[in-house]
Amino acid sequence: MFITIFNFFQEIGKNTDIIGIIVSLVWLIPWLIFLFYPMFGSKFQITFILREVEKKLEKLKMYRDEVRNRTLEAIKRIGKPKEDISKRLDDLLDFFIIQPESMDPYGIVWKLEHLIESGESKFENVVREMCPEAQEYQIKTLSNLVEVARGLNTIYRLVRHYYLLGKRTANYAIALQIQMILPQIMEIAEAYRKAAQAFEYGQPIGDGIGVLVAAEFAYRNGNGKNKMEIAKDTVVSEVDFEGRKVLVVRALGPGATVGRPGEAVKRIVEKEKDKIKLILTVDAAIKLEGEESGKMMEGIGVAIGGPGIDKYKIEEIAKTYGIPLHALVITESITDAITPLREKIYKAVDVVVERIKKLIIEEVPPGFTAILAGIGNSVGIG
Amino acid sequence: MVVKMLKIFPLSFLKREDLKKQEMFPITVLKCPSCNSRNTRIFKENDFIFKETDKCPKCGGTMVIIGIYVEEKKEEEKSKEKF
Repeated sequence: MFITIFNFFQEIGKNTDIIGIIVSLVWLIPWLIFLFYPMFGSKFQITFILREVEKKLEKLKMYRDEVRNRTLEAIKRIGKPKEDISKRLDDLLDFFIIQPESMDPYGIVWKLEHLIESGESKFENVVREMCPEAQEYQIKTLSNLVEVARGLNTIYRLVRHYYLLGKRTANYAIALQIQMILPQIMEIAEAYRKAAQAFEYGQPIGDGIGVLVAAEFAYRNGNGKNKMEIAKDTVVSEVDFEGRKVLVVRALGPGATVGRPGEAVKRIVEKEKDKIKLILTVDAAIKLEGEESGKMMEGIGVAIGGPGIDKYKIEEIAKTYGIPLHALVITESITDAITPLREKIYKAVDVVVERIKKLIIEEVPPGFTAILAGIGNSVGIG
Repeated sequence: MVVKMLKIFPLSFLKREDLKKQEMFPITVLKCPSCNSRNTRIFKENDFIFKETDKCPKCGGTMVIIGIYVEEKKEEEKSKEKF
């Protein structure tokens, strides 16, 4: 290459016309880039990466501010607070729950349950204080709206952290890490942004499909009798179906809550014991890319997401009494799950209810009992 | 110098995305338990599924909300993916 550059200067010396010199200089540029690239290449790359992260960060900031303002407006409109609540809302957006220590995993489920319940109560109590004129179900929905705003705030803070860290240390690896997962982060952030609408107006969301299926099953079979709150924010009703008793468990709507289905099923099984021949859970499941939304799938196990407490409780009690666990899921994307219910997903209700009927007839002998647990968020479902 | 030039000229103008609110407008589906007639209207705040509301235009009975959902756009129904 040095010979080539040497030849190049020889050529310049020979050339007397201006066009020849310009052409020779243009020809030299790729060689110079090739020569000096290792010296400034990484700087060049990190600048491009940080520029891309910065653009997305600006967008995240807009989403965060938009949802925060929307939450503030909703609290003012529904709760009619008597004082300025901006500061209290901002404090809530930074609220956190510290995960329990897992060095000794024994009993971690109960510790996690205690922490989550304490956190939820605290959150709801603060929202209740901010909304003196809101009804109880509206407080639950507004708490979820604040949760959405908090989620977006956390996403923004995390991305900003890695962006600034990458910029300050000029660390290519740090900048690259955040850049690589940014598409997924942005998808979640956009879903959160759209979710704010559903919680602001109390519209049913995709995640509520499990609750809707259970409620619809009860509604089509006499609306259920002896309806009672068996665990916090969780109701059970009794349905007579083809000589079998079906205990329908679901979160108490129309406020936004997922209830305590694990605790509810545990209490029912402890009471009914060997009479229970089937525990059937119905929930929304995140679809894989390429799959369609609103498709029903069937399997074995407990269809419950979240931190795992409810799933653990149902698995434990089912194992103790030897009860089969069946699961029905309705596929949807992460965006569908937290945004207003789509027609395609809603239409799956009929298909799932029919499958539940068949399953109960196949798996539960007449005179025995099945538990049908509709899992999900009950916002907009009474 | 190249790095400084990149900082001066922002790249954001290359892809400016619409940041306006993307509202979704759900519809409310009502059914009369007496005459089984169905009715749809735009969602109103405080509507929820299984709520008894609105008078039936046919028999005058109280209708029940049986669904609240966002209608699918026709172009969304067709899958563009090969697989």
